Formats: sequence, structure tokens, C-alpha cells
Amino acid sequence: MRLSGAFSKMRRLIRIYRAGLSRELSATAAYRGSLAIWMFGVVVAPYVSLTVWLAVLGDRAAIGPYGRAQFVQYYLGVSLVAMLTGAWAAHFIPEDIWRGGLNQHLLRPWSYLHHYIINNIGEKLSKLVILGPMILIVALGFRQDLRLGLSWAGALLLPCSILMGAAIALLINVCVGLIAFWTSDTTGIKAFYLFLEALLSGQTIPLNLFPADWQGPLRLAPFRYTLSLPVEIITGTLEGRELAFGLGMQVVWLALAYVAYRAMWRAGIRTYGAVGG
Amino acid sequence: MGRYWRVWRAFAKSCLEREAQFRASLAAGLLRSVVWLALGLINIEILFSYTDAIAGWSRGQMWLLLGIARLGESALSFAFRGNMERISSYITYGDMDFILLKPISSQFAATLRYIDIYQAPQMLINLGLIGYAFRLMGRWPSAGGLATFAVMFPCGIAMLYALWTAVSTCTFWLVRQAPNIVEILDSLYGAARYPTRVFPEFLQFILTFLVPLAFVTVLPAQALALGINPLYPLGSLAFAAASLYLSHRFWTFATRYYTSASS
Repeated sequence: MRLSGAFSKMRRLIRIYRAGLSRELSATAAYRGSLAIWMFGVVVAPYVSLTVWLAVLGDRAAIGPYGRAQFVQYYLGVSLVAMLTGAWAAHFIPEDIWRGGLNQHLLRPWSYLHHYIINNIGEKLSKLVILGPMILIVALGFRQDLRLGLSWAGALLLPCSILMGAAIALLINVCVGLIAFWTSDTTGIKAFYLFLEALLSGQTIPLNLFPADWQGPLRLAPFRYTLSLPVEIITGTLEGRELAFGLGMQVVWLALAYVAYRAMWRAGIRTYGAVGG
Repeated sequence: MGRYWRVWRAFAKSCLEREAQFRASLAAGLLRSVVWLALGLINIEILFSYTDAIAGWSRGQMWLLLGIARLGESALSFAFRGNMERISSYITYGDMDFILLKPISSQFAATLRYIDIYQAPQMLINLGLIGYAFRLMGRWPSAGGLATFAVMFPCGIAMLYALWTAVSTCTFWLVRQAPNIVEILDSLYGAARYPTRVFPEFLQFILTFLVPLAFVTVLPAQALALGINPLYPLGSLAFAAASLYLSHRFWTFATRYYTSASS
């Protein structure tokens, strides 16, 4: 009895996701020009970092675990994974809360979080179509240094790691947005969070190249697990126990982020005054 | 010219009075600026823990370059960003009617009406960073270097103003797309914080001539830190004058295609 209940719940959710995703895809098609420009930004920043690191590398064989080929893998990986695990709900949730847009979500028979998951997946599918060729062009520019660092085990674990990274990033991002229940200006908080993410996720600088005394905190903070870990899997610099530790930390942060989201949502919705009509 | 300066000051004063109501945003804006500056500096520090020079630029020179690049960014945001972002809505909602009716140049009224006063403290912070960079280099700029910088930096800002105006002018035809094109400029600005020589030639060309960010960042920094061929300040002046003239012609041409929004 309980099993069939779970099944019908599942089927209902699949229907909601299918309808939501097709709506999201047609919505994103309307602003494909903007998507292309954003994706240009997603590719340019890692490309610039890569070029600068290659200049720093010069004639040396490697800096830490990174030779030419590894730097190329790393930053091509960043271009792809940063998009796949990106989240932007924190820009929209405060508006929903302050202007009462949340009301319509509260009336729907599925949770507010599903709305942002669907939006996240839908927009990423559209972005992938544009980003893929752009990454390919950059990759062609570095074709002499192009190697595949990914192991068989890595290839199997990579999708898992990206999926967990995307989920952690989205949940934390939603939590940052939900702070709007208690304040009327989240600009400062958002800026600080974006800064931590840009610095500690490996977006600009590979985390292994940070000074030794940063390594402990970097391994514990959630940011490594939203971007760097999948990219490290791509470069093949993670092995055995390190890889297991990383994936374990992703599970831990996923659970923590979900608990934090649930707690903030429950506390926040009690203070919510439903502005507007 | 004197009249336009007086009008601009009146614009600036009204912005100041308006923003005085939202002082909390000032703190948030400052925090944002400080953390991004910190990110840039940490990036340089980590790069220089593995090398003594990037494309011939020392650590102090890279701090200087970052300071100048950020000064350029805050100056551009101070004087232009808010205006350029509004142009598309002027055209969509028909507010361009009132701008065209004013007894001053419509380009002036549309592109220089608002200032972002929150950028003022950030410009000061960036000036401080530039000063500190000279301490790191262990010497002060020469009088010639300062003079060249004083010519080249404003010329660079003028070129970007002209480019930005030209892109925003496309809004007369491409109402929705044009504002987003500017984001390409934002993306490329990240590259302009590094010595241009690091990049392959096609990108050097883009950053110098197509989107002349190097004229705001790398070239003035070079003038200040290392000295530069006198052809560069002269070229900057010519390039700035030409781009201002062309963008103004383009604006005047485009306003003829404006067909108001209502009825």
C-alpha cells in the first residue's frame, strides 16, 4: 500500500517536472541572445585565468600537480562545471518575498523549491546547447595540450559529483535568498556569498595552489564541493581515498544544506506577511 | 561647454539628494567593492607565490594595474552605467520624447543624466591602492609618467564612453538585445586586468582596438610605472576624439529613427 503510494507520488512529480521543463525551455528560447552573452562570460573568465597561469608556468614542467595539460583540463572543466552547478535563485527569491510573488507559489500543490529546481535544470539545458560549441572552440585553441585526465572510475563518478554539486549550490543559494524573510536588503549578503564562492570554489584559482595553511579550511567549506571537486575529477588529480573523502563531503554538505533550507523555510514562512494582492 | 558643466552639476546634485535617502545601500555597495578588490589582490598574491613576474610585470606593477583597472571601472560606473542601463526603457516607454524636447543635446541628457554616488568612495579606495602599489614598487612615479597618465586615462574613459554610447544607441533598433551586448564588455574587462602581452595576438588586438579596454587599464598603467612611447598619449587623444565624434554622429543618426512609444 505504502509502495504504491510512493509510486503515484513519483508519477505526479514526473508529470510536474515534464510540464515545468517544457515551459522553461520555451521561456529560455525567448532570451537565447542573452544566454549566449552570459555563456560568453562563462567561457572568457576561465580562459583568461588559464592564459595567465600558462604564462606563470612558462618553461617549468609543472606547478604543484598542474602541467600545461592539467591547467587546460582544469579551466575547460571550470567552464563546463561552473555552468552545470551554477545557481541564481538568490536573485529572484527576495523579490518574490518582498513583492508578494511568493503567494502564487504557496497556492500551488508542489513546493517552492521544485519551482527553482525546474527553472535551474531547464535553463541549464538551454545553456548547454550554446556553451558546448564555445568550449569546443577554446579547446581547439589549446589542441596541442589537450589530454584526457579522466579515469574510468572518474568518468562514472563525475555525473554523480556534478549532480550533488549542483544540488548543494542550489540549496545554499536558495538559503541566501530566503534571508530576505528577515531583512529588506540582501545586496551585501549576496555580494559576500558570491565573493566566498568565487574565491573558495576554485573558479579563479585551483584550490591546490592556495598556500598550505588554507588547505584545511578549503577542504571543509562547502564551496569546493560545488565546483572544484568535479573539476578535480576531470583533471584526474584525485585518487582513491581523496576521491572517496570528496564524495563523502558532498553527501554531508548536501544533507546539511537541505536541513538548513527546511529550517529556514519553516521559520521564514511563519514571519511572511503576504504583501500585495 | 560652461553651460553643460553647470547642467551636469545640477544633475549630480539631484542624484545626491535622491540617494541620501538610501544610506544602507552605501554600506552594501562598499562591502561589495571591498570584497571584489580583495579577490583581485588574493589572486595576484597567489600567482606571485609561484613567479616573480608576469609578462615582465612585477608584483607591485600588477597591484598598480589592478588599482587602475578598478579605478576605471568605478569611474565608468560613476558617470555612465546608470544612464546606459536606462536608455532601453526610455525607448520602450516613450520617455525619449522628453529627452529630445530638452533645450540641450539629447545625447548629453540621455547618457550623462545620472551619477552613481556610491562609486565615489570606491574611487578613493582604488586611488589608495594605486598609492600603495607605488610603495610596493619602492619608488614614486615621474612627473612625465604622471602627465602621460593624466592624458591617457581620461582618453581611455572617453573611448569607452563612446563605445558604450554607440552600443546603447543600437537600442533604437534592437530594443531588447542592445543592453545585453554591454555584458560582453564586462566579461572582457576581466582580461584587461592583466598585461595585454599575456594573451594571444587576436585578443591583444580586440582589447586594444575593438574594445579599447587596454587604453583604460594596461596602457595608462604602463605609462605610470614604466614610461611609454609619446606616440601613445598622442594616439589616445586622436582615438578618443575620433570615437567621441563618431558616436555622436551615430546617436544623431539613430534619433531620426525614433518613433515614440505611445499613440
